[in-house]
Amino acid sequence: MIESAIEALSIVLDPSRILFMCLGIGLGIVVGLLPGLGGTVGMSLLLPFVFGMDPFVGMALLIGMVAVVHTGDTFPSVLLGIPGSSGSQATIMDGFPLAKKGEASRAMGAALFCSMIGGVIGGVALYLAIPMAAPLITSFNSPVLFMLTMLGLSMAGLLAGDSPAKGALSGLMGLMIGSIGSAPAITEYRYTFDFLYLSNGLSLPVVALAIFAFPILITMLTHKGSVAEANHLKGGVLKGVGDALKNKFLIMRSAVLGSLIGFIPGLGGSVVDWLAYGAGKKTIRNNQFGEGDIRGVIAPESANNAKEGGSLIPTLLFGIPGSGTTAILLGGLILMGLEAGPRMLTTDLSLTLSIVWTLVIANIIGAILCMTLVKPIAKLSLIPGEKLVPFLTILLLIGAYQSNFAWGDIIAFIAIGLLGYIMTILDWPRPPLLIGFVLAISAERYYWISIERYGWEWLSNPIVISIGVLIVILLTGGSIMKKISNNLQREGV
Amino acid sequence: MTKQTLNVIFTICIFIVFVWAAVTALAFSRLAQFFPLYVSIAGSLVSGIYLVKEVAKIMKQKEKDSHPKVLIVKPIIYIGWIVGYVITISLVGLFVASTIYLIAFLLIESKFTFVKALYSTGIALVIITVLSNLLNIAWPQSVLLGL
Repeated sequence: MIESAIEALSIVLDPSRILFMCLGIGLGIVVGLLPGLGGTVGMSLLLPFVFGMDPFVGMALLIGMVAVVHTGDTFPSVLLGIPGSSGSQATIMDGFPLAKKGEASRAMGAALFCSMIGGVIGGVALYLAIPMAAPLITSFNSPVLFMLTMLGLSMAGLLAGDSPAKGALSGLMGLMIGSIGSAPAITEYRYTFDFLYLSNGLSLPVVALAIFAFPILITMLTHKGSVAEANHLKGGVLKGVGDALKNKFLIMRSAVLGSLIGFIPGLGGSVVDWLAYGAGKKTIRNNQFGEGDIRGVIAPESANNAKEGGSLIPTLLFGIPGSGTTAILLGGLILMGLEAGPRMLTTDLSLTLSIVWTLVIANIIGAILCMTLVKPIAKLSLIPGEKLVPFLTILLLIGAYQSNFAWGDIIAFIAIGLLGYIMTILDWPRPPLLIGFVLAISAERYYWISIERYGWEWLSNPIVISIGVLIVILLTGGSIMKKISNNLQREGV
Repeated sequence: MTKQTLNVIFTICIFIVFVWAAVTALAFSRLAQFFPLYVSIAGSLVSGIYLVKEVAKIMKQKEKDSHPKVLIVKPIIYIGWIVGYVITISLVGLFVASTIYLIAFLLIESKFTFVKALYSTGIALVIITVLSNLLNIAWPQSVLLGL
């Protein structure tokens, strides 16, 4: 295996392949930078060009692009509080407050460095998982997937802030919005009001942009100020890198979590950053998550790039796409005359290993490239709202339109945006709504399959019980520990 | 309007939506019904309890009028700008609508001089057009003119 890996490295380092990888990286960063566009758009753009291409060159182009989308999407998340793509939603929670304090460069430095390390760890995870992927993937049955979805939903509880009722209602609203459209168990449409647009449900980029970006547009105008409340930028990229190095265990933990979640087909990579954020919030002592804590940037950013390595495991080895991006990647493989499946571990092993190397190298090049852009782009946070908002509005409306190329996207953007704005001014937490929305269909599908296939017996599955216990610990552990510590303080221990 | 009053109004709206969703879900077939029904019943219960608590809180604090006020007019004006822009796109297409919206907004809200507004608009439109062509980005079409 090591010899094959070295051979694959020499293939990847061929100048023509490096050139195509760099082209992919450039496109990946641009796609990540523009709100509303994600890996799926980037893949769709590149797909026509890979037809008949040498597979190593074609994969360098495609994987180079995919690897860095979640590096480029950090810019809008930190600087404007707008998710660049679905994987950078949680970065907003602390990245944007840091930008408000004038520490955008510091947040960006930490985020980009963690993206790089996370991406490398994701590549390593892909390499290590190759020999043992088959038994692991087959062990994830519907009850386990349902419980993992519940684990994701429990993060909504962790992000509820001071008011658990508001958090729960926000999560339930997300689940309700997620149930619009066709039912997964039967061909029946729900809450569509006979609009064709709603028959397929609302798309994630539209909901994410609406719930986070629309309120930002209005509040920037009503408050008449720039994003950064200070009139100069404090802290540089290197300070952020230093912060990341001080939290190396958090990076490792989050990246491993990201790889594992990406590895599970069908769970949805869009929730990985929230899981990492929630886990960080729960496990780090004396944190100030949500108020501009640099560790709140480090956790999700380490996880979202690592996820890409994990998500390639079921895609390449079993032909199971875990996301829209990997589904298009499967199409790309066919266009290059390849087929995902066990052959990727035998005849095409060198190609699989070249993908691992491309992931690692693209993440390093992408992060370094983005770091050079931080200084000029961070100045965006100093521009007054009334001068920035009109341009952002155009960008966001075009971004929202890319989901289905339908007017419904724009109408949904405004309608959900208004809901997001009201929630913002009334201090209702918005992340639980998004988590609920992302996981609604998975929760319904896996619950239904579990009941139909196993009755209530699935509740006695040991993995299901373990995940259930973990959820209870996550939800109640913090308050129990707080109570114990308060009691000890009162008793003067 | 105080934040607390608006919060109650918002919760009432959410409660109504959840109740309506639950009633509507009853008409779905069994396999399509269970998920939205469970969620909407849970939503109705939580929003109902939260609403009662909030109203009780207001009743207790009736004498005090120290709650922060919520801005109403300004946000409506800015939301109006966005809605107006969207309506203009639907009438004349993205390019013309963006030109009108940018020049008008930059002159009225951003207090740019006419020349500055003009060249800022020009630069923005060139960037959008180039990026759209390079990345094959689709633009919203005019419903009336098909632009």
